[in-house]
Amino acid sequence: MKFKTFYTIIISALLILSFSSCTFYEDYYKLDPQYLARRQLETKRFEAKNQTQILEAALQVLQDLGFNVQETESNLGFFSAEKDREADNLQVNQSLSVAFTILDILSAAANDHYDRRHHRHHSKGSSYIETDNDYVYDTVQKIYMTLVVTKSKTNKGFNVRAEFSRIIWNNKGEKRYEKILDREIYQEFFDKLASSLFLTAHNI
Amino acid sequence: MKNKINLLLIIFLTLSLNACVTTRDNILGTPHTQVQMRNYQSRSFDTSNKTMVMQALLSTMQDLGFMIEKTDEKLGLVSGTSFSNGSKVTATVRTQGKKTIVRLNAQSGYSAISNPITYQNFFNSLEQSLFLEANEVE
Repeated sequence: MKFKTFYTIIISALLILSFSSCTFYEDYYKLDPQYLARRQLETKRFEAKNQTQILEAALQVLQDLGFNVQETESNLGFFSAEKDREADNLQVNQSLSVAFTILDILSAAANDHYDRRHHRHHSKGSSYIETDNDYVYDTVQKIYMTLVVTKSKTNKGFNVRAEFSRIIWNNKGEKRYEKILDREIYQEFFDKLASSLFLTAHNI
Repeated sequence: MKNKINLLLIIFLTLSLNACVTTRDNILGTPHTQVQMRNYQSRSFDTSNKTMVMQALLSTMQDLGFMIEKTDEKLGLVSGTSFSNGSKVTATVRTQGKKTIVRLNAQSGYSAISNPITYQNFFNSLEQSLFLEANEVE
């Protein structure tokens, strides 16, 4: 009986080991159902003389917005850029964190005082005040943008697809990825691009 | 009892020797043969328009949440990092007669992705993108 159990365990372990490597990464690179809606949000058609004119105007907008260009391929009508910024509402969150720390210290001191009056002793010594501020807030972010200009096949002009995303770090050193899906941001970017096209066309 | 211990030792030794990865394996090692890998990492498309395929590739990578880091139209190269799972991919596009061949290799963490289904997923996404490009779905 013991031998049987022993062999069953060994065979199961070997089977798990041999099969586990086959099932990794099967969910990678699948399109999610919202991808077409996102594509629509990120794309707008512009009329211009050529692809280069749009790329030049878009580069001007990126410089207006303080981006640093990382990679370009004008033959494909592509470039990518990034910029580092403080996280949204950083100063408010920093002030809140300081306030929570002060509250922690005050409440710890009050407890300490209460314990002393009632002759209770801390395990870590009576003069030790422990604060544990777990307030998590975002500190910095890296904003990425990718832009692709393609010639429209059915209409006049060119399709411009701009995509914004960012990585945000918090005060605990953890990071998270966020795709920007705010319609107003894209609308504003395309408005700026339209103005830029006008300005560059008139050498302004 | 002695037999059992011997058997156990043999199994552990075999497993540990199997898991032993040398510098050579890390630099030049491949999980499958060259032909097998090229087979599941490549997909041929019935067009000779390399630029269109490359633009569809960029769109697909944008759809899948990639940060595109490198492109070269002449060499047909696109590489990027996925924001959603952290994997890195390099894709090459080359024409062969009336066909365009796209080859992709991917890495996740400290290991190469050698699961053909992952590549199939990517090429399925690329096919959809090519269809959209050809039929102009904006």
